[in-house]
Amino acid sequence: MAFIYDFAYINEKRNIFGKGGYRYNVPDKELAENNFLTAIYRLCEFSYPKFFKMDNLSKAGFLASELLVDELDENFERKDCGVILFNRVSSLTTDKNFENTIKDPENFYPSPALFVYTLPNIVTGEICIRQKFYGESSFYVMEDFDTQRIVDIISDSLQQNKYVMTGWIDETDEGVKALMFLVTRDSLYNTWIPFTVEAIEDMRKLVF
Amino acid sequence: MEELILQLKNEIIETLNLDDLKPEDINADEPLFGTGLGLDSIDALELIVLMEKNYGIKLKDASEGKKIFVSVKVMAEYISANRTK
Repeated sequence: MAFIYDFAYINEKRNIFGKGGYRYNVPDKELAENNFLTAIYRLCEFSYPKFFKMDNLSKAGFLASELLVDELDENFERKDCGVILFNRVSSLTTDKNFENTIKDPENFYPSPALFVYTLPNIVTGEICIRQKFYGESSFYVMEDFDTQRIVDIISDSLQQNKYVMTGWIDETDEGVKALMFLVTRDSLYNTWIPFTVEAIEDMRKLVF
Repeated sequence: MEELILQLKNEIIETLNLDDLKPEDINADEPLFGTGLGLDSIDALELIVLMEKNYGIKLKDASEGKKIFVSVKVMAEYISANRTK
């Protein structure tokens, strides 16, 4: 039996972010000075200058992962943690932004900084680098939030990894949506939420 | 030259997304790579694009950047001597 240690989430359209039972809104004052994800970064007082160079998918992954590991100590063996994420539209927003730098022959200046984020799995790499996770990392693009398939893939991965940081991160015209959770092969800190389709569906209803 | 240095600092901050920095935080003599601003290889490529886009300077060899991107001041001097726009 696998367990969910905790979950973290970001929903730009609803202006909410949080961890477990704690939910926050980004105040208008902060939104006037920063975009939504940068506002969360500043509100949480994170310190990672590379954050500003990331695309929104990686920014959301960074923020959710930071929230998730916030209270973990040495009992959580980082090297045994994998990262497996899912979404529907891959890195489409960044792909479009990059396309904008090359579509006009008179103004053809392809941006290297945008180009490096034109793959969805870059976010998994960013999280692994930041959190020092050495387990399996992969990113699946699927038609819809297929909870059963997610459970199957993560359960399979738990044969190799003690922990898997997983979840859904997508960016559409409605903004960024992220729901990430840490799944453990064995109970961690007396975690009792079983890793099941029903538990994920409950979190999803709460956040999306 | 001072005006160009300030303009360059603003362009570097914007292009490289150095959101936590203000122009006055950047010492014009400070190394851009390694210590100093601690830029990386992708930033170097962005600076090459910036030189071409904003000043019409096309570097024939990317390794030329090593001599030019020493500091904001060296960069400004190179731009001043070679700009076509």
